[in-house]
Amino acid sequence: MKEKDYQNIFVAQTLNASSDIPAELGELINPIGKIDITKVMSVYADDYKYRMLEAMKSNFESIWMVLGDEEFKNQIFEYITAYPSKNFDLNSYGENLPAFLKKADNRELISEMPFLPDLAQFEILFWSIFHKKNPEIEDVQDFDKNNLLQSRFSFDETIAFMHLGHHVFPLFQFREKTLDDFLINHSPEIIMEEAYYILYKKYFKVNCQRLTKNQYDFFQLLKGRMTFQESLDNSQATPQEIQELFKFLSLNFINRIIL
Amino acid sequence: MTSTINKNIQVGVGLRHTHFDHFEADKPINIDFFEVISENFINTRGRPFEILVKLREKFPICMHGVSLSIAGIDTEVNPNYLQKLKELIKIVEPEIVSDHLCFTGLAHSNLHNLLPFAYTKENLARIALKVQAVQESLGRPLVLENLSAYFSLKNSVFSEAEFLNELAERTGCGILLDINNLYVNSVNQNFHPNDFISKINIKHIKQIHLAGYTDFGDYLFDSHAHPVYPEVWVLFQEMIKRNRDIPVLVEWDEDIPTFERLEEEALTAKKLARN
Repeated sequence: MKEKDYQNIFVAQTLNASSDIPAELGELINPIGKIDITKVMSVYADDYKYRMLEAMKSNFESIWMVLGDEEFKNQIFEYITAYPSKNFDLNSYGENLPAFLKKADNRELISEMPFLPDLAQFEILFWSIFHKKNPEIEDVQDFDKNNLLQSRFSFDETIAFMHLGHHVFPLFQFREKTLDDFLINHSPEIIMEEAYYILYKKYFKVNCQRLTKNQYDFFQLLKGRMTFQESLDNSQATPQEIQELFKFLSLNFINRIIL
Repeated sequence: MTSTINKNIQVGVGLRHTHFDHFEADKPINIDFFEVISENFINTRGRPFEILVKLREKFPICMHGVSLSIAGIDTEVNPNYLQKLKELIKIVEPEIVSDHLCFTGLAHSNLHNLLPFAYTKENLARIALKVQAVQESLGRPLVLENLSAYFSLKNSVFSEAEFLNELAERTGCGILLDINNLYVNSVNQNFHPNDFISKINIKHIKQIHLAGYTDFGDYLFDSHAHPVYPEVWVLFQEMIKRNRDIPVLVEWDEDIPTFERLEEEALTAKKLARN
């Protein structure tokens, strides 16, 4: 058998371990010691599945916390069959999980926990910011507030906005604990609220702040290159919402985003 | 990183996120160098990268990859991967850039595993071309590690040691000898490890890896989940007495102990090499 055929058959068999082992592969492989070819293939197939499972536990820790070991494993084993890894970087594996969790086969799971796809989406964004270069933080006192109203803003890759149908951030904060711990501290109803977030990196940490819809929309206007004054004029935000937002900006990163 | 005192070998450990708190707290470090899994740092400039940069100020770093797939059937290594590897090399300036003599899957399905292939003349010629192309692209020699394999291929005409020797002769690449892999294979495939040791050309060996295996009864599995076993230490002593200038690294990837315990394991290599 040519090397190309061997590698193709071996990979296909590892990904689909339940199928019969092709005769030509059986004729080519010398199993080791006391194990036969079926066991050989299951060693490699299991190694693949569990390696991917471990990567997904790391990338989607809060989904794992919510589902528990068994259900998480079941979901992920199905996921890796549907979406074999194409990338060398396991940290980025799982980009299709939000869509996968929504699929028709998962109707029962999603009717019980409709927030799961949003939680997966949140984790993807959070970790993508985590892996970005830490931004330089300058002294905010140097910022010239007089120019604020006519300033336009630019947001670097360590700042992101998110609108989700569910308020999943509190769940995410409990990712290293248990669902019971979460329920002791929070009412499950809060998860069902619509949520607007800004995620930003500061001093090596990714932070998440919940915004009102008006504040979120205000940021979208700024992102659309309107000046601060133009954004204010076009915003529905109340004076209190703007005041909160300005306080938040000046405490965190206004000097990083002003042009 | 070559030792100037021939009885004081350089010992290192794998850099793992489990120990990041230890490094951030500036606790003492008694080993000589660190090795990073290249893929864990290629796409991050966050906390893991910051810690690597900080350690790089004080310690030599070796880069060890798991995705080169040098024996894969594609005629060239994934150019995107190679480009990112080059960028990381430029920043880290590692002592050694290594990977494994294996394939890891296909372009559309990466199994993230180190998979055996046939040690044939055709594969030797094909892989030698790829190694040369990678070395030209990186502007430095590549170092390739022997595998732990749970089967062999009947159409092989070389042993693994012969294949590695020949590849090194043809391309100038180095060999990373994983003694745990060698021991696991010798038990599983029923050969004497000294057959490999006597065949492998010591002049090509640029680094030694040590780790612990898991005994599943029917076979040994290269799990990196335990301390180095006595049988592996014996082989290590056999090997290191032939050349005490080869740097030695202890890998521990599952049930990872404290950094102090990991260091203790690495420093055992130093003690044994002195005897």
